[in-house]
Amino acid sequence: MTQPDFFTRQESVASMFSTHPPLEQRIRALEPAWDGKFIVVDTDERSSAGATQAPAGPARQARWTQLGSLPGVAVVVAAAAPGSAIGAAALLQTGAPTQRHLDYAADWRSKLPPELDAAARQPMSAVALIYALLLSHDDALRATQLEQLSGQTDAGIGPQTAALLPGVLRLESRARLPLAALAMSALRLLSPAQYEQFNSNIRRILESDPQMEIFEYALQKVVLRRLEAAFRPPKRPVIQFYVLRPLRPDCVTLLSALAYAGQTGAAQIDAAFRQGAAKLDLPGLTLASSDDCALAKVDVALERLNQACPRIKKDLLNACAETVAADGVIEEKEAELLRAVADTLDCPIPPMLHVY
Amino acid sequence: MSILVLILVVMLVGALSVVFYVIGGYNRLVSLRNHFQNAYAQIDVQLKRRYDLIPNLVETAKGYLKHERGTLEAVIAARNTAFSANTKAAQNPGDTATMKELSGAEAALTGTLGRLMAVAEAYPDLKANQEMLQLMEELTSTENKVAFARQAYNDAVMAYNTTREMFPTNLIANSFNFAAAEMFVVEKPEEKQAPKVSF
Repeated sequence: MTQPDFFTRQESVASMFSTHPPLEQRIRALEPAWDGKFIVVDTDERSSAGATQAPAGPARQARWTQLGSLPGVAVVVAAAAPGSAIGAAALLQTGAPTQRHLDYAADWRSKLPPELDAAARQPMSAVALIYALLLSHDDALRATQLEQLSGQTDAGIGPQTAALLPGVLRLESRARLPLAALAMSALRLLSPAQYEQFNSNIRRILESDPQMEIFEYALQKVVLRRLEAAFRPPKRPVIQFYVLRPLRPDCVTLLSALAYAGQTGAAQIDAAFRQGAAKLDLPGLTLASSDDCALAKVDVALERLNQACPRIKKDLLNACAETVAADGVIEEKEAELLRAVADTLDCPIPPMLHVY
Repeated sequence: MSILVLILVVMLVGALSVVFYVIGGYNRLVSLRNHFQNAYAQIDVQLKRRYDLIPNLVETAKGYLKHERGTLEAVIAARNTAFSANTKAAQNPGDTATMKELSGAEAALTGTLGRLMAVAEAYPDLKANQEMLQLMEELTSTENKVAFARQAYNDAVMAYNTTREMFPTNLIANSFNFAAAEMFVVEKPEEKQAPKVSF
């Protein structure tokens, strides 16, 4: 019995009490080109050691392998011939985590330094942990930021941030976003006044670091977006954009920022941008200058893009993935950057397991 | 007849509005009460950590402070009193009597720890003891976390008490026995600071 059977047995009497339109109608609202056929899903996700599972569709060129016990840091999470649909392959598991993802998460948890794990579970130390994740990588600037932080926070947070820094600096790229997610439960226990102070301190850290990388920016955006719902009256989300055209400059800003972040050399940056832009139904997109991709402008762009309908967000994420994967390689830091951007668009994607 | 029906409809709408307002006010008070009780749980965790550290601290200091038995025993006694007070407060967070008892016990414990640190100043070997230094560092860190959690708790209590006292919610609160919650404050000004250890 396939999954659709549980959803399509709405006969005329039962349909009178339906709270939603029929499933087929809802799918076609998001995927106008849908052929009306449901994919049969194999629920047995257990794979034997070394087994592979080839994804369907345009990503057939990529082979998935189970995450093994690889020593050291995994620098490259995905690699294939340039131009292959590796970006699409990376997004295939969105919304459908498998047993391998669960095994990956368990592996990550077991390797998390105990002091960082403990810090993520208490409100005060969770605050210090987020500060430590966002501080500059430059030693002199970081020392200044710590000094300013100590004067603007409760007693103990400054020293605790300093104490957590060595562990945070040794963290792998892939661990930072999940660690921030782990701290969310403790951060939701802050009082409103403590949250406001936390919020303003994070913004001060951002403003004091002119060299802040897009990943740290995306990380703080993820943290604050998730906490907003707990501390400020949740607003009913209103979709403002059902077509992509009004979001043209915002798409250019975001894709350009990702291209600059993931590539070096003018030719590679331009090629990465074009590969992503080709996925959008917007002709004539051109790479923006690096000044036009400043974090403040990316911030505005993400706010507007977050008001788009899910179909547009899906296309945009595909475009972002293609930009990141334009050189045929998705490095760990690029994968995490993509995950952070996806999270800010309310479309979290699971960690990318090795794809070769 | 039509005027009578209209009056009945208006009265019914009015009555329903009052009922819904009472329901909303009741639920709001329940939510705020649960919030400050949950905030107390964070204080409880840190206080228990503090109480666990103190016997280790006393045991480490005992070998050096052979002639300060009275001071050490006072610390243990104050710790045990605070532990009992916290156990009672954890069962009924916000209750006036238990919170005052806890505040007093915590103030007394902080005072005895302060006296222990003052006595330890005269013992250089103890001051240089690595285990002692580590325990004091953890104790200071825990006291900072207590202060942080206490602030969150007091903010939550204030939000609850304010809502409880405002008209017309106070009518709902009094009708359904929503008692005022007590904040967790440090009673003596000189004990607002954690015991400072300067080795």
